[in-house]
Amino acid sequence: MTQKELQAQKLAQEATYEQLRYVTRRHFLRDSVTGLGAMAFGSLLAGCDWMGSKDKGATATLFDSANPMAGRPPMFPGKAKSVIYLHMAGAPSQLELFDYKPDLQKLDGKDCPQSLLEGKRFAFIRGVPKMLGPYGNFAQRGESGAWISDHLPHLITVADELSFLKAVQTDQFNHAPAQLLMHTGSARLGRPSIGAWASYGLGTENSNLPGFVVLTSGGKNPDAGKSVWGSGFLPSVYQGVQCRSEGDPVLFINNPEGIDRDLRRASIDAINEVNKKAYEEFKDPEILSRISQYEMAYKMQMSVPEAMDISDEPAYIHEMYGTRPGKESFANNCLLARKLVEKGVRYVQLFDWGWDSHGTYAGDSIEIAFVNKCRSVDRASTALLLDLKQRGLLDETLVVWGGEFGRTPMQENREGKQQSFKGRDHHAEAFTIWMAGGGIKKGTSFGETDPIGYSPVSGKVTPFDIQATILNQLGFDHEKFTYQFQGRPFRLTDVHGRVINEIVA
Amino acid sequence: MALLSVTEFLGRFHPVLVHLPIGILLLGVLMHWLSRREQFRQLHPAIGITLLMGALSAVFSCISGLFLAGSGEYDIDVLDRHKWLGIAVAVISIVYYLLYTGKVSLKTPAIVPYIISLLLFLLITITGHLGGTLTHGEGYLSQGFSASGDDSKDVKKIIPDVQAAVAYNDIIQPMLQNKCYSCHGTSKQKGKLRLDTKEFILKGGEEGKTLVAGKGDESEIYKRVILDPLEKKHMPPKGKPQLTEAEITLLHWWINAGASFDQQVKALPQDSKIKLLLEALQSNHIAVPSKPDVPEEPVAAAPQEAVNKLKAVGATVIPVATGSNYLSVNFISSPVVTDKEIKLLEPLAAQLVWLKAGGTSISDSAFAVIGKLTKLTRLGLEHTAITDKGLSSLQSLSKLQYLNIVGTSITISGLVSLKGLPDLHSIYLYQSKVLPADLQALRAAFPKAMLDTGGYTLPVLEGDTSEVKKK
Ligand code: HEC
Repeated sequence: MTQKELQAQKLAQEATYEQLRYVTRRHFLRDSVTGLGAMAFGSLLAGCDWMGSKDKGATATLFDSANPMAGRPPMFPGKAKSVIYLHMAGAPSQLELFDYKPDLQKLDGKDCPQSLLEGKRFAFIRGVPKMLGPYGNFAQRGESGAWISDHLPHLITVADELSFLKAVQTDQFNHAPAQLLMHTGSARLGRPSIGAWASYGLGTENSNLPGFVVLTSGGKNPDAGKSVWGSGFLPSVYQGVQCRSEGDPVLFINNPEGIDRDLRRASIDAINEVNKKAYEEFKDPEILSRISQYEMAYKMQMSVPEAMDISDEPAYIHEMYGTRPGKESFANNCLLARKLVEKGVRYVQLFDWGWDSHGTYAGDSIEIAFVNKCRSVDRASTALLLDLKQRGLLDETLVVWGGEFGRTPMQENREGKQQSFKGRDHHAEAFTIWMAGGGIKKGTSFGETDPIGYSPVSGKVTPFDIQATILNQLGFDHEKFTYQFQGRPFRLTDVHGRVINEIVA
Repeated sequence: MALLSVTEFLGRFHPVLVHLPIGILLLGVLMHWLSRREQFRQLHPAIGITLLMGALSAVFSCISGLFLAGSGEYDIDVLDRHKWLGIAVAVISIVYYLLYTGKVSLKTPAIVPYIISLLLFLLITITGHLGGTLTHGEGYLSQGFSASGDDSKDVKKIIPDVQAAVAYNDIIQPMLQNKCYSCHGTSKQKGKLRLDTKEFILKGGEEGKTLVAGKGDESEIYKRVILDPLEKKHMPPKGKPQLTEAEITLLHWWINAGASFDQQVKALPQDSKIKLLLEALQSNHIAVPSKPDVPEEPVAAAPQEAVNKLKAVGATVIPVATGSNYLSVNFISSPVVTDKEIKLLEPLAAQLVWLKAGGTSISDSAFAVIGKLTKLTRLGLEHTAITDKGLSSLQSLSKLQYLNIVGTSITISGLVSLKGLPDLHSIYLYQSKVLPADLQALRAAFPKAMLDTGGYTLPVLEGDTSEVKKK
């Protein structure tokens, strides 16, 4: 036996003794009794179809405890192998970017008609607000003739790659619940996010990297916090792995002094050994999650420097994205997202904070802050699409761009007062999201809003429809992709949602 | 999940309870017969109480069974027989008990209890079998012996252009296959009716003609599906997967339009409602630019040993879909991939449809192997040392749709050797040795393909680096 092996064995033994010290006589008695009861109860239930589960088409659990991240096939061959979801947290104004409303310009400064206010609730608008015309110059772009304003001068050059959903409607008008609804299918906490479902369903193609990675920019996490990339009731291996946005994307990539890779391996083996014993005893799948997370962390030490380091990209790529090496930036994250997808990561979720343009001061105004936000994402989002395309990745990578809701056609008047900056309140009724690649039609637009952009008049879609479509592109039927929890099968889309076939190629 | 009512809940114990009368009554019968022999005489006092317990448990089973039957998830005919036979078991076991113990003293010959016990044995066997049929489905017992294929599998036709589709083949037949073949197909002909071929459909069933071309409302096949679902004659019977509203409407439309077995959709009259339904069929399926990138015909599973060998070198081998034997392979997490590892793909030639070998250390000699993977529809060879010489051995990949040779030293002369590939629709050429000047010639060689030479740049705009400031 080599020195190393001996060392590892000793570590494992120590860990076991340490754990045994916590097992008392009471544990023994309790475990014996519950064991018997469970046995009896289990056999009682097994005879009858206890839950009366009629839907035999539903997925059996895909959770493979030995290797929860193993690559798995979707239900049907999916067009998209990966998703990059660019979420503009705070909700960008569709009226300044994509949903062109010349009639709203004519109403600029006039009182909002009562009919639009009756029975409606707004986050901050009080009394009778004034209408606010679009700020920006619109034109039809590309062969598809998509309306895009000059706030996004780069994006307009790839207009023919995009598919717009112009009448997205949500039922949440506050950031956190609306973000949760968008990403987990429920405005309340506790449901798994789309990325968690995707990595639960598909595992990862690359055994050295997580299946679901989260990258944030804009100085803050989204309002809903980490729950928007949580795993809910799915085993927690499937939650998004958030990488740091500044400096090293993952901490402790390098081993601390005095600890070499073999010792690191030995200590992880020892910890896993103890965890496995605990699993055999308690059968809690969370213990397995923990084991595989240790494994993942160990493997990531090897592959992360390569996959997560954008500095090895050539200068012209950095220039294309407009990255800011060493700083936190959306552009860095876009470039990183491309690299991760190239390496087989299934779902890359970006959040860019700072789009909440209320107009209460310069820092959240449309004329200043919003325009600057546009500038900070325009080049990078466009570069991402083009870079994916030239690498032959865009046709198997679904890119989604949008916020959690839209913004009102009215000027915000917080506390009934007139504001000196242009700003719009939260608007759940209608907003725009675009998708590209991953088997989505090119150069189309679906859905329409009324002449002032207040409500959908046709082609209304909901966050559930968007989720159903994302799952469909990955090869899952959102109605059959379920997880058994608390005695019933759960779906991402609950009882809602339809695949938006109008934009599926 | 809806809350269960108390009766429904009790009903669910039926599958457990039934084992009591089966066991206890059979034990009683056995003891009764054994006790005829001298050495088992001492069993005698136990037989009465055993039969009583058996009879009581049979009664309870009947009651729980009646509750369960109310849930209506079962084949009505079998259920009916099972019910009455079950009740018979209960009644006869009571009679048996009374006669055996002499609680009612009828002047019956001594042989009668024995005859009753035999009858009971038979009844229990048959009732039990019917119960098994109810829970596990018909033919459950014999299933293991016959190799008859399951012809009621859920099939989905891909309809790229619904107007060009054949109305029967692409719309009607799949729906009959999914919802009717299980009872009106090769394995079963309920009502003496088969619906799996044109001839059988036209022949009709027990009650005569099933289809009256041009007259939907008079066709048995349509009348049956629009009957009140609670009616016994409603098709498919209660509890089986039902036709959807759209399917029923399309069936009616097809019969009214003459029930043709070979006409295309566009040849049949369509009002606006039908047009919408037809269109929905089309968009329901992803209409790819050309053909689907997974073959439709089924294939045998790949040899497991070959798959394991690939996995051992770090390759990711995943079926393209659950239940499909077609495979996708990539080498994203393999540390070293040389021509040797590529050789391991050879046994998967029949199954491998998507291959990502980008960034690996393969050379031209790997292409002898890749050229044999004739099922490939997507092939990624980006950033490898492949040259024109290797590429020309891919001419045999007649199904190829997507080819990625980004960052290779392929030139136009290598690429044009693939000119004859009929389905090739996307070729990625970024950073290859294909020159912009070659593009025109390439477009002529690949008129249907999208050729992407990449190298995109974005102009530097003032806004990229500056911010607007407060005025
Ligand atoms: C679970 C089995 C089952 C399925 C599935 C089923 N049937 Fe039947 N079908 C029967 C039985 C049993 C009969 C005979 C009893 C009767 O006439 O009601 C029958 C009879 C019929 C008859 C009358 C035949 C005759 O001439 O007597 C027609 C027509 C029919 N089925 C049509 C259909 C169609 C159309 C479907 C699919 C949409 C279908 N059935 C699915 C069980 C089934």
